[in-house]
Amino acid sequence: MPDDLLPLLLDLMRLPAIPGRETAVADRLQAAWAPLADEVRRTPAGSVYATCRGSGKKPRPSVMLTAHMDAIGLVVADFEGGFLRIASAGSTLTEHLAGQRVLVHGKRLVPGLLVRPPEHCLPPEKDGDSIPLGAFLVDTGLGARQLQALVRIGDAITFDRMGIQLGDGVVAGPALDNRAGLAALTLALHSLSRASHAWDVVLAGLVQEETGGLGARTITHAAPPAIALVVDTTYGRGHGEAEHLTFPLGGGPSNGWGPAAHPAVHERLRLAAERAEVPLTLEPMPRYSESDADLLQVAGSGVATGCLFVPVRNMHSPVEVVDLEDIRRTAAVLTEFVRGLDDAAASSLDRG
Amino acid sequence: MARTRPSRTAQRSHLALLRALTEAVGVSGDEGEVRRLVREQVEPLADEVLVDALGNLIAVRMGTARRRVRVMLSAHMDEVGLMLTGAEAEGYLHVATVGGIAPHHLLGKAFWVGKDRVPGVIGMTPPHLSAPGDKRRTPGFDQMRLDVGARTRDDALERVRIGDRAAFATPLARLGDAVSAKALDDRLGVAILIELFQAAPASIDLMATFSVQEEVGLRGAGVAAHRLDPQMAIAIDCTPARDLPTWDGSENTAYNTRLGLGPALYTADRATVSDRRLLEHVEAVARSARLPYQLRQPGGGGTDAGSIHRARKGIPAISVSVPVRYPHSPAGLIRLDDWRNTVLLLHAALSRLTPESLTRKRTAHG
Repeated sequence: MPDDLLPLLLDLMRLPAIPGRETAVADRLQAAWAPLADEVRRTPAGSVYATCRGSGKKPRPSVMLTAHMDAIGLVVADFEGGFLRIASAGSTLTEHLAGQRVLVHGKRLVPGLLVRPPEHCLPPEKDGDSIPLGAFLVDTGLGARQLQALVRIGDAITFDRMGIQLGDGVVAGPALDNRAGLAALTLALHSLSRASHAWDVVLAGLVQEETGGLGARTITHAAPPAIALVVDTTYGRGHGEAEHLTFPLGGGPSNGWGPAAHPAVHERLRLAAERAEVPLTLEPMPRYSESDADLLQVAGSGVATGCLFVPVRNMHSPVEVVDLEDIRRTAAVLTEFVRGLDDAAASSLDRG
Repeated sequence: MARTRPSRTAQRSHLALLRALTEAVGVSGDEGEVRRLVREQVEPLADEVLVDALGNLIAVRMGTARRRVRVMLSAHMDEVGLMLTGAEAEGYLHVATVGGIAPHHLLGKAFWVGKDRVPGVIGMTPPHLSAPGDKRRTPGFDQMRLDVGARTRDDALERVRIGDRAAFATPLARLGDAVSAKALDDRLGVAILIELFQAAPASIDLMATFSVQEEVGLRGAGVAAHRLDPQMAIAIDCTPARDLPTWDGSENTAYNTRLGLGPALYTADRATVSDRRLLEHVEAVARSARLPYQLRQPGGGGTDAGSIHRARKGIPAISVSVPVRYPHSPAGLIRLDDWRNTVLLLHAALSRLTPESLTRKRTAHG
C-alpha cells in the first residue's frame, strides 16, 4: 500500500516537543489535518483537535482518536561557566546521554553536545557506571557570556538526531513515542476522508502525556466523545527482553485489556482488526494502561476507552525503532473501528 | 606561514578537509578511506609517496636549504570503533570494541557499518522491563547488540558481514568557536600534517607519516620510523582536555590539558619521555613567536612517539597535541584557535630547526 507514511513520520520525529512545548507538532498536525477535516481547533491547554462530521442522524455520538504529541526531553537547569546543567522533562533515562548531540531552544537554536564529565569531576558515590542526570553537562562551545545571552533557565533541550531507515520499512530515531501514534492517526484520517462513517470523528493530538496527562484530562471537555481510543506505543521486543512483557516488531499493534479499557470497545477493536485482516495482540493491563487512557477514562462524567499500541523497541531512548507496517496496521484498525460504528453502536457500550 | 588569522576562504577549505577526514570511516586496521583522502592532498607536492605493508602512507618532501634536518612527523589515520563478531537468529549483531571506548558511549547511538555505511543502532532495554530490584547499570559490551533492522540472521548477513567495522555516525558540526566531530583523534592531526606538508619549510626534509593502528598499540609508526631513519620526530595528535567543572565546585587539578590555551607539549606520557632538547626548542620558539602553548600534565596515554623513539638506535621524539574534549566518544570537541595555534607553532618550530638543535649536549636534567 503506497502512502506518504515515511516522510510524514520522519518530519514528525524531527520536530521538537518536550512536555508543555508542543506547538511545533500541533502546527504540523493542523496543516496535515485541516484539508481533510470539517474544522481544526486548539484547546487552552495546547492540544489540537480536528472534527469530521459523520453521516448518521442527530444527535450523533462522536468517537475520539487520540495520540500524545510530547516526547521526553531535557531542560536547562543552570549555568556552569560555559556549560549548562540539565533537568529532565518527562522521565529521561541517563544511560544513553553521554555523547548525544542536542539542540538548546534558546533565543536561537544553539547546538550542543551532551557530555558525561571525566571521572574525577563526578560525584564519588556512583551506582555502577550510572551517574545522576544532574551530573551531565551540555557543552555548546560558547563562552559563559555568549551562552547566557542566548539561553535561559527552563529552555528546552532536544536530541539533534534525525530519524533514519534501518533496511526496508524499519525506522530508528527519537520521539517515535508517540509520533508513531500521530502518524497512525493521520493515515486513518486519510482513509476516513474517503469513506463514509455514521459517527462524528474527532482526532486529537494531546499535550503533556509524559508529565501528568494535561491533554487527556482536558480534551473531553472541549469535545465530549462517547468513545475514546488512545493510540500510543508499547514495548517492542528488543534483545534479551522477556517475551511475555514485549511485542515483536512487525507483529501488529496490541489491544489493551484491563480496567482502563471498556470491554465492548476492546471487543470492537478485535473485530475491526479481523475485518481489516490485521494481526492484533491482546496486551494485559492488569491495573493501568500507563497511557492517556487512564485519565481519559475518568475525565468529566467518564468515557468508554480503548487502547491501541504500536510496538516500539528501545523505548524512551533516542534510537527507538518501529516497523512502518505496524503503523499502517494501526491506522487500518482505527479506520475499520470507526466505519463499524453505526447508529445502534452507542447502546453496545451499556455495561448491562 | 602567515601569523595573521587565516582568510575566510582558507578557513573554509581547512574546515572542509577536516569534515571529509572526520566523516571518513577508518577503524584501526581499515584505514583505506582516510588514506585515499590523504593521498589526494599530498601527492601533488610530494617527492615520493609510498604505502608500506601495514598501510602507513609515507610522503616525503625534500627541503631546499643547504643544511637540512631529516624530520619525521607522524599523525595517525585510524580511529576507535567496533567490529562485528557474530549474528544472532533474531538478526541482532554482536560487536567488539577496537580501541578504548566506554560502554556508555555506545548506548543509544547510531553507527555506520561496513563499506556501504549500513545504518545501525545500539539500543537499550527500557527500565520498566528490568527485573524488579535490578539496579539500573550500564550494560556491558557482551549485553549490547547492534541492530540494523534485520529480522533474521540471514537478513542481517545480507546487509553486513562478520568482521565489518562500524564507526559512530556523527557528522561534523560547528559549535560557537569550536568544532565537534567524531575521530578528531587523530584526523585533526592528519589535517594539520597535510597543511604542514603543503607549507613545508625549506630547512627540513619532511617525512610525513600518516600512520595506522595507533589506537591498538602504536603499531604503525614504529615500522615507518625504522624505514625512514629520521634525525628526529614529532607525533601530532590530540590529547584529552578534562577541564570540566567538578561536581562539588572543587578545583579541577587533573585537567590534563585545557581548551583554548594552545597546543599541548608533552614532557612525558606512559609511552615516552620527551627529548628535552626538542621540548626546549619548541618552547623557545613559542616564546619568541608569542604563540600560546601549554604543558600537558604528565601521566597516562601514549602517542606514535612511543613507538618511534624506540626505533633503530633511538630517535629523539616529542609529541605536540591539540587539546580535545571527549575523545573516543561519539563526538569530540576542539577549539578553532587551538587548531590554528598548533599549526603555527609546529611550522615555526620546524622552520627554526638546525642540525645543532639536536647536537647540543644533554644537560644534567635531560
